[in-house]
Amino acid sequence: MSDLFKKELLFKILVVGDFGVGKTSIIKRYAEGTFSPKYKMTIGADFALKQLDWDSETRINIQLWDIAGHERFGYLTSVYYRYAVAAAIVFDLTRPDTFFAVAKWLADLRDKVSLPVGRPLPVIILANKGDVAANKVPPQIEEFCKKNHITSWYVTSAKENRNIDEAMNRVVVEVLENQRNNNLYNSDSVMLAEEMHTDKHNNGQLCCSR
Amino acid sequence: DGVTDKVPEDELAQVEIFQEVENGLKPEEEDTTKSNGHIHYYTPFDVERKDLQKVDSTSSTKAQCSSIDTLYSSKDAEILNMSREVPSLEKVGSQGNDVEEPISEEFEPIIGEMKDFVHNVIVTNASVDLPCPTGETSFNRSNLDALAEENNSLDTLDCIESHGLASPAMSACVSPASSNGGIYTPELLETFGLNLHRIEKDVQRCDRNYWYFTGENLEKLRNVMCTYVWEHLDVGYMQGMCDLVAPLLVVFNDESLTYACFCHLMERMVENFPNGNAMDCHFANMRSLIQILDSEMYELMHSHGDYTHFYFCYRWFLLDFKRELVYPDVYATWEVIWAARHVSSTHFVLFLALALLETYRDIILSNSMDFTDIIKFFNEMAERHNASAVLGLARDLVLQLQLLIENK
Repeated sequence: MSDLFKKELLFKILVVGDFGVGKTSIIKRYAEGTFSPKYKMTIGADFALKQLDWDSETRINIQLWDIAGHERFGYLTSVYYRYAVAAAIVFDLTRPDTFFAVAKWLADLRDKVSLPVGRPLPVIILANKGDVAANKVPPQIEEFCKKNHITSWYVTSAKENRNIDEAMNRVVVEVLENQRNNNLYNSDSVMLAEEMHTDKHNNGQLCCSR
Repeated sequence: DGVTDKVPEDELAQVEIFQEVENGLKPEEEDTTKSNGHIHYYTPFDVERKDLQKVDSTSSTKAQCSSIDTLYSSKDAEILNMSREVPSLEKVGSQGNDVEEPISEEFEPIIGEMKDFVHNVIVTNASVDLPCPTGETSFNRSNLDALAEENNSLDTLDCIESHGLASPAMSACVSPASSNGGIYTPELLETFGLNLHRIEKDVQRCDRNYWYFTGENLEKLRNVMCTYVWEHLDVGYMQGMCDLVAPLLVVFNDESLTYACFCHLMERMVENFPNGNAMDCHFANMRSLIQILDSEMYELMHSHGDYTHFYFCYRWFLLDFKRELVYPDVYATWEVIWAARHVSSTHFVLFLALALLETYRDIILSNSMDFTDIIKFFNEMAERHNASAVLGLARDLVLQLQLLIENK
């Protein structure tokens, strides 16, 4: 019965990153709790839904959009990105070049997605395939995050179900914070100019490695 | 370069297969009462035995590929010569006009759109599939002649005309010189290396649920893909290409034939990939067609977050519906698409897409689907469609459009 009174939220979260880093695997793991080594490569976009009973008053429906790794070169991304509230950029620990592509994906996202009030889109970074190469985390990642106002990154493994739930929860927290701040902004714009500034810095640096 | 030498016997075996196919066709060719629209054989290329024999079977596979390719290219890029199969069909309206016009943002009046389609649709016997008494043919013909006259006055063209007609068969990029030896710049080698890396990743996960794609056969797929990219470095590898090679390889089980066929297929398909303009045309055409043929659906799409951009059809067009169907249905569907160029429309893929959409019309309308819903729906329905029903509906839709045009 109490379900009827729950507040329902819908979050569209993008999962991007170079081809073959494991975006589909992460999404299937998170939404369906399964892993297969046999997913097809994604063409265009696919997505999965996940329902989270966040707290006693809130239910969150997460729409995870799985954007094909080659799509950055295409022109479709802006349509797929529309109405997104957050993004996870995935790279493959076994392929160092996929980490360098993270910057390009971030630029693409920041370029094409803007939230109301001009806030930057909350982004987290997932260093996937941690089951094979957990020790190969690129040393530049901390600095990269700091420079780009990315508050967290995780070593994940879709195969071994490592850190996927934790990472997605972190995204949801950031989206909720963002929305709370937006509400504040709407009620009192003068106050927020200050708050937004401090908020961004206080809440950063929550980096965790696996 | 990983391309293995071929045993000459393989080539001979292939030649024989073609001979059989050719012979097998002859009785049907003479039998005009038999169904005309269906193609019952898998070989999409009207290969002449002589041409194949010209290929020196002792040279390397790659050299064979390029010579086969040259032979094909010289044959006016005709993938499939179906004309002898369909003696009772009349072609209406001119087809190969090269003039291109930029796509207008505003909708042209619907009637204008339809005229463009008439321009392109080759009107066939009322039902291509059904055995039709020859008497009916002449009746149809006279009808169509009238239509043809009407069309002669039209020279409106839009993007409908501008794609599908092959880009030059052989690329002009520097890499093909490789076949003759030479020195390559580090940049060229680096580009090729990047392409190889992408190919490797996609080859490994190409149809890995399908029995054929293991060990040795994946090697063939890789060779075909790498050869294509080396010969077309200006195009490069793009995701989806492996999906297009796969069904050809399963049918031929031979690298050089698959390569030659793939090159021809890509003449049309390359325009669908990110650097071409065919995808935008498909979307624009879908928009016009759905407005004409199912305004209720168009209204729904427009009012539920406006997904009349038709991006949810992207994969359908990119891969000629290959991901939407199971393998046996892919063969049937590809054959129909290839044959349709000659018997019904060079844009038959549009009618297939419409048919796929119309098949689920009631579900889409009753659930008031939005962009997200429809993407999810069609992703879940992949490989579950009733292909023959969809193909049938696609033909009906061609006829429906023709009737609409005739009645105007």
